[in-house]
Amino acid sequence: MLVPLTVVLVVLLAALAGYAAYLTIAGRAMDNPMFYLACAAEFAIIAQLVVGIMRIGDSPGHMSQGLFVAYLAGLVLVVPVAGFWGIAERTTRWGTGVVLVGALGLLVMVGRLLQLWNGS
Amino acid sequence: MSMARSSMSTPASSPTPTNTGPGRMLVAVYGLFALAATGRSVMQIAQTWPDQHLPYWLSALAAVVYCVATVALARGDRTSARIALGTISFELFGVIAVGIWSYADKAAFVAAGQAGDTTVWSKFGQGYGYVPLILPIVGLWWLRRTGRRAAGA
Repeated sequence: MLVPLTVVLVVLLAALAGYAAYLTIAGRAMDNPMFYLACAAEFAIIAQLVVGIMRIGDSPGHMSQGLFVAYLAGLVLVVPVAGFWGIAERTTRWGTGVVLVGALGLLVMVGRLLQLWNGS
Repeated sequence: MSMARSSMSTPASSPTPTNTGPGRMLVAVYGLFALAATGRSVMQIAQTWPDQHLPYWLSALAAVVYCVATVALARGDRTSARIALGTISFELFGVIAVGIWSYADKAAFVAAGQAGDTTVWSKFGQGYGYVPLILPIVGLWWLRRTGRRAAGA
């Protein structure tokens, strides 16, 4: 895995989670900054998917490559699903709450991905 | 906007659907676990087929439980709430049973030198930050809360 890309991804996801938490607590629906932040995060995830597959040969030999790719593919799904849900639920704060759950879940999944790559 | 207001606007006679308000976040967490557990167990079983490893099948069971619970909570009608109650009760039982089992019989959870031979529920969900243990408790609390409002208390 490319370390700078992973750092960028974690920072974007943390920013998305933080902003989503703020909007949820403030009782506000999804707004433009959140939309662009989510798009940037999704872009970084897709880049991670491409880089992850390209560099899979560099992974430790005992790493389960299928599991690694499955995690990457799963990551790609989360932001669009949470995002469309968030957009659909513009009338309540809980739309942004769903995005918060998605962003936190993604942070955990990226952590698992790093564990896999580092061979545990 | 607030929870108090939304509960006031709900007639006491009709049940509060499980998929409203903060329940949406619960559905989202369950959805995430359904995705994670399904992906994990399908991959592990496919890769080690035809060998049968207990941890992978326990993860597959967890995946089914999470999928059913997600759909039941998301549907939010009265029958779904009952299905969710049964499913989430089983989930809590499963987390505790597999958690104890994984400590008591470590050998059963180590299979053929594969990396990461734990289940979603091993060691009370330690690998997932104990969320698997907390989630059914939150789920049961939420069902009780929405159910009680339904009873007009």
